[in-house]
Amino acid sequence: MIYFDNAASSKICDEAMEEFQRVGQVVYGNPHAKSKMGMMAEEEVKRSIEILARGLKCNEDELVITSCATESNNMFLRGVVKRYKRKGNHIITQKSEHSAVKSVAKQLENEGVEVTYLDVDEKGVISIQQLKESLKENTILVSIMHVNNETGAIMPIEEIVSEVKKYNKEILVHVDGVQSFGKLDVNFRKLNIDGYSFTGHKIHAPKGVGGLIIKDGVKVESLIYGGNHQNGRRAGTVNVSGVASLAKAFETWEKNKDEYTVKVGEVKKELLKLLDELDGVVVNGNLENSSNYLLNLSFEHIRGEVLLHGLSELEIYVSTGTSCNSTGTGMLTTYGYSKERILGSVRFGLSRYNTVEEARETVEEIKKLVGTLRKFKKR
Amino acid sequence: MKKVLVIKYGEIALRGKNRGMFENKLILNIRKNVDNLGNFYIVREQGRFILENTEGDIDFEEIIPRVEVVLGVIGIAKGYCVEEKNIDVIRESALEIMKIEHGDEKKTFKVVTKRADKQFHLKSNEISMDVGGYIFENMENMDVDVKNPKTILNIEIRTKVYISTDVIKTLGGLPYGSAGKGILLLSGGIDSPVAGFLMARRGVEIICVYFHSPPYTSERAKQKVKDLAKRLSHFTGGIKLYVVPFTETQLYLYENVPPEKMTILLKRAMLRISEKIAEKEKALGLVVGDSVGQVASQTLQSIHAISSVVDIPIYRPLASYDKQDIINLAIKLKTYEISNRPYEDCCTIFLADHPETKPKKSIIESIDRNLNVGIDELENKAIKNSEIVKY
Repeated sequence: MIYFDNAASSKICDEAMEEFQRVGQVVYGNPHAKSKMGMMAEEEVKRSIEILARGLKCNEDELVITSCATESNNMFLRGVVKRYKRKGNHIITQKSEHSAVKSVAKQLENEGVEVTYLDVDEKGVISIQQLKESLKENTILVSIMHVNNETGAIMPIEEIVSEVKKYNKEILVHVDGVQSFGKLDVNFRKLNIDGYSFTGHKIHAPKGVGGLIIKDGVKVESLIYGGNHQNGRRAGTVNVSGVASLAKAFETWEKNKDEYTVKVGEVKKELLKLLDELDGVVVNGNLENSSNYLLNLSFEHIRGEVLLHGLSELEIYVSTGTSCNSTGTGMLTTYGYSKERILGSVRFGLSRYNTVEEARETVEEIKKLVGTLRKFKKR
Repeated sequence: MKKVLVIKYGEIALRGKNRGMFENKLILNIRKNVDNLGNFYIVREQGRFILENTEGDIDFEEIIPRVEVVLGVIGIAKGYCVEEKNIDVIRESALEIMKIEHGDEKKTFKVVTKRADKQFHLKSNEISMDVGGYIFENMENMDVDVKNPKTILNIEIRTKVYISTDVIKTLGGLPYGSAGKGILLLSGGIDSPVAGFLMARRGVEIICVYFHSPPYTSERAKQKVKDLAKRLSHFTGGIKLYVVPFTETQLYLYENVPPEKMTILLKRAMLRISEKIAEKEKALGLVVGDSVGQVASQTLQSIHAISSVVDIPIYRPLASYDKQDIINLAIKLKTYEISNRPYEDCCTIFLADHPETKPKKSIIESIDRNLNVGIDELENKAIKNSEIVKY
């Protein structure tokens, strides 16, 4: 089995699994309970937050533990709009965002908020010029993803923040960091952003735990009401073993990140040999400023979904952003590509568990499959 | 007073010498659905069965969902068996039942009596008037309306006395399996499961066939068809599904036939394979979801050119249905939400943008004749390699 769908979800690493089990079976008290058992659980949460905060360069009390990045995005976007509506009613995001941001923006639009969706170019990057022109007096929030989940294209966050804050330092900047967390170095303080969402299951922690950094001083209305957990910012018992496991997975990455980056880079390089070894293959997004963990290719005269099913039969797992007959849907349309190119696209989500040998095998199988499939093109 | 379930069957009551066979089949199918819930026995009365629990009352909430899906049953009613054939007891029981069933709700009602036991000293009409009057006097919320009542209380004087409430209309038809076997070509779309249901309702035992073309159709599309078959088994009490690997046949056709005729020849291949499965299963017909004029392959010309490939009868229960009617029925059967799952198949890449809508049978047949040797082998191999799933 070869798994190249890590951008969707990843295998839990041994370190995180052991941690999950230890906390779940030994320190299983409610972290909000008054007993010693409760205190021990609370200690686990605190320790986990310490690890994450230290790594992401934020204060511990700026970090809220959530169930996933979708929740984090919802919480920041909705919470800010609600809290700052007196200051303005305009937010800015961009067209290639994950639906966890885009759908929230659409919903806010239905509720009367003005939303500007910035264009992206064929490399998957927004134009700073358009951003500057979109900023208005009533703008309260700009939300831009760090790394695109389908192509790996990296957004110029520093430049974005600098332009936004130059215009009005009170405008908040939120970053959906799902594909950068535990993959790229993220310095919350230095980026000078106000919100950062992330999740565990893309970096070998279990599903069901994520986080949101809210800069000190920024007010975000709660999404969920209940007990006074996490300083009243998010009600609900904290997923203690989940967050401990998430912190462990993150810590493991931090310790070995240089090695992992090189390793994943080599796997990507091997996959990229498809460009030379097969005709009619193009890179979607760009290679110059993109994550090592993602690669998106289009195969001429091929439906990505058919290639996916073919590979799936060989137990090689990739993904596509669109299904076979869909028209006008899928994130890649925002890159301005032709329908054929979009339908022919396949995403490879890499992880440190992938090897160059796996990449080689995948390349060989794709060459064989594409050769067969191209004999049967639409007439 | 004991709770029983009154089960009405329709057409089979009209049968002549075969009636016993149909009734037995229906009893068997009802038993199959309820037997794991307790110890039941079934009393045969004219045109109906009475389901009774040897250990006391019938639990309506538990039993009704199990019986209302049994094909051949036209209606069911909550019933109460009154052991004593005494008008005073009947009167009191009727009042009690009305109170249980309707509480304080304001309603109009009437009482209908059937006196099968002519020994009983009051006539049907007299019983209805007596009991109706008593209910009217004792329940302020009930008003008599003999022409258009909201609810009807039925009293039947037989060997015992049965009092029952409004009949819930059920699926009707004939007992499943009383009419022989048919092979249903199940595609994953909206129409074919509905077609299968309609034939099952006429008593036809359904065996499903699905043509799977990986990598052009996905595992999820296959799962969807499995789920549809499973849903149908809800009405049939079990179902068998053949998943036929079809890619090679499809690619062979792609290479050997003109694009605009591809669909017609594909369908002929599917029917040919299905006929062979029918032989194996001793089935007597094929069932397809065609609705006249819905798509290019469902024009009369296309159906004409497709059907000639097999000798076995092909049933098209939806031929005259409008799409919306099919959808409505699919929603009722709860197959619609399964069919609607968005796993499109990628076989469309084989299809022409403008498929022929008026193919000539003679031309199609001559193309097919020229394919026969090669395709015969592929089709036999496909049947041999079929995955068989049972629900």
